[in-house]
Amino acid sequence: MGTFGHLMQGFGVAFLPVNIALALAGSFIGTLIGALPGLGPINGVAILLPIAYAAGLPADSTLILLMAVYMGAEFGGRVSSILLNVPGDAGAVITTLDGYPLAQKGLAGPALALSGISSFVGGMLSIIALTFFGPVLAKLSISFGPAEYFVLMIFAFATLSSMLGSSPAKSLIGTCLGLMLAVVGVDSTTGVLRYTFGEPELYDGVEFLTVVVGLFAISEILLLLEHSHAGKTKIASVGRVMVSMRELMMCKWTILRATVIGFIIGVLPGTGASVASAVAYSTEKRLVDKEGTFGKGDFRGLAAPEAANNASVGGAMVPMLTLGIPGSGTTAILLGALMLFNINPGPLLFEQQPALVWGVIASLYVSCLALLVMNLPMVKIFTKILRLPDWALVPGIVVLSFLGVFSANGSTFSLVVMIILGVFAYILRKLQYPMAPVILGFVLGELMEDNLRRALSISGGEIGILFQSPISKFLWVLSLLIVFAPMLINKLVAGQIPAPAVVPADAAVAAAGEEE
Amino acid sequence: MNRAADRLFGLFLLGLAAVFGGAGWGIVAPFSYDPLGPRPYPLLLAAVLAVMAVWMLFKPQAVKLPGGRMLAQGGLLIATLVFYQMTFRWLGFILATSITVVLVARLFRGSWLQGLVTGIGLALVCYGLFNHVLEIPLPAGSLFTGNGG
Repeated sequence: MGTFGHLMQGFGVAFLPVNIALALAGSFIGTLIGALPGLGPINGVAILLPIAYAAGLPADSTLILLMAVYMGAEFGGRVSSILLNVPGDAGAVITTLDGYPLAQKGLAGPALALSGISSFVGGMLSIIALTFFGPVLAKLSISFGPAEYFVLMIFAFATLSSMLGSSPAKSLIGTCLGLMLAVVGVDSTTGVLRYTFGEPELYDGVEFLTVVVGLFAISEILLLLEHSHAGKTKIASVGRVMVSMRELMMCKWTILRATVIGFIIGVLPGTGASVASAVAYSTEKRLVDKEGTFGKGDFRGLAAPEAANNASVGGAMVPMLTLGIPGSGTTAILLGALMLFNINPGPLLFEQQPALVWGVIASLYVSCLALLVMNLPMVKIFTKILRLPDWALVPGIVVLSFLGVFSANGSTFSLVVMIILGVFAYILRKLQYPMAPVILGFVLGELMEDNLRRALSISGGEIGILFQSPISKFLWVLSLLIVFAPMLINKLVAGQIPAPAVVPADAAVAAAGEEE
Repeated sequence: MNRAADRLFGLFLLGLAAVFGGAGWGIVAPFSYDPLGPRPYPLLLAAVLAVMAVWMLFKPQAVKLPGGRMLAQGGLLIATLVFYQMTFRWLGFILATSITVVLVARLFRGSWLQGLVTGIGLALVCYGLFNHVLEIPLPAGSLFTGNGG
């Protein structure tokens, strides 16, 4: 069966009434969460996953819901960026640069419309690319053995530390902390207890849902406390949500270029919407900003980050579905969700779970269309949500977090672990440690150790096996390049050419690297 | 802006690496089924963390720290979460949730009344949803029912 046949089979799954309902609900909730300042896709997925799990939804439906939330949040993030100059989530930081000046010029309506269309085009094209590239990559990756798989994870962490956050050292520390957390519990090969400190509740390791909610919901509550507002924010009047054909045509190449950039950056392990939108913005600024209007309310400066951050969603799904390596922090949680259902993510996913994989891909088309409708004619509903005061929002997050973690395993011990992890994550975030490496490390930790030990079992303890095959060698070289190339280039370029005008984007990457 | 905090945290990480490595040293498998066994991998992680922690000691970054008022409020918020955890079974979901929500709402500048309405509303809606729609029983409160919750 070709790609098309598989996709049709997928639509059979996606069009089940329950799955359509979940895709629509997820899109709506996602846009809502994205629109709320401070909450982004990763928080939304973290809060909803335990509830969906407790409700007993099957794997495909859970994934369809969470993917819709993920994409919806990337759509919704722009609303508060444009209207309040407060990014709705990390992927929408760049959107404020030109979005808010447009709103101040009285162009809030056209800005919302144009960014909605850019989001849709970016999202849709990236889903189409996922549909066609996914199976190809899956075929390639079947030849991966334990050694290649181990090196692939090294590569994932290497990309992560060179792309994210203000300091590669901090990314690496975050990765380490995540990997260490994953060691806790019974060692699956020998049955030895590690780091359980005699606590029976830790024998199975630290519960995935507990970690996710602690890292991304509890720490978020503490961050919200710092810039809490009482709901009296003044919001610019929106007017008609329309954009003229002329303005749209002016942006068409920007949108297409940003989509390609967003997709590629999405594919890279661990880097998602915030990096994608920053790179797309700075590229466009260099290419088309001849009059220096970027940052002062240029439609192209708004279209670029919005197309890119939505395109990164489809991109991030590619390595997640084909290799079992998450393309972003949010997909790391989705990957963990698959493991909760005892589904082994990895090269064989396309072969072993075609109904699930294609059902989820097909449902992305459904959600993306639904999001276009919700984000153009219906966008005013979401502008109202900006008035939701924190005293109503935050207690809701607290209660949902506790309910999710408690109902997933019926224990109040995991609530303690959740609070401790939340406070620890808050400290990390205040010290500018990016969080994506922590969750990636935690999700991949067990697989990484398993593959290392299996590879060494095959070779009888000979470490050379990790460097033997052409694929491993290629990945090692790529990892070294990705870590050291930026430093070398900086050294070479320094003093010769005046620094390119990438400045706002770089600053924003530093600010945004913290979550997505 | 403050470099000392980042450096201090580096010190904490170094300690963590030491504890993790120390505890990892004691992992012994009665039978080893693979050449590596359960011990080297955690020790490797501890070593990497230790190296990076030392790096942070020498190259700390300037970070912006929350002020004293924020710390006090953050402490109160954490205390409220701990209170919620401790009373979750004992007072039961409805009562524990209502009280917690009032306290959290107060910290986020809501009035007593706003908190109370939100709290009771949230508690009743969630209780109904979980117990009757999702059929996941939430604790009714061991204080009142006399059993383990």
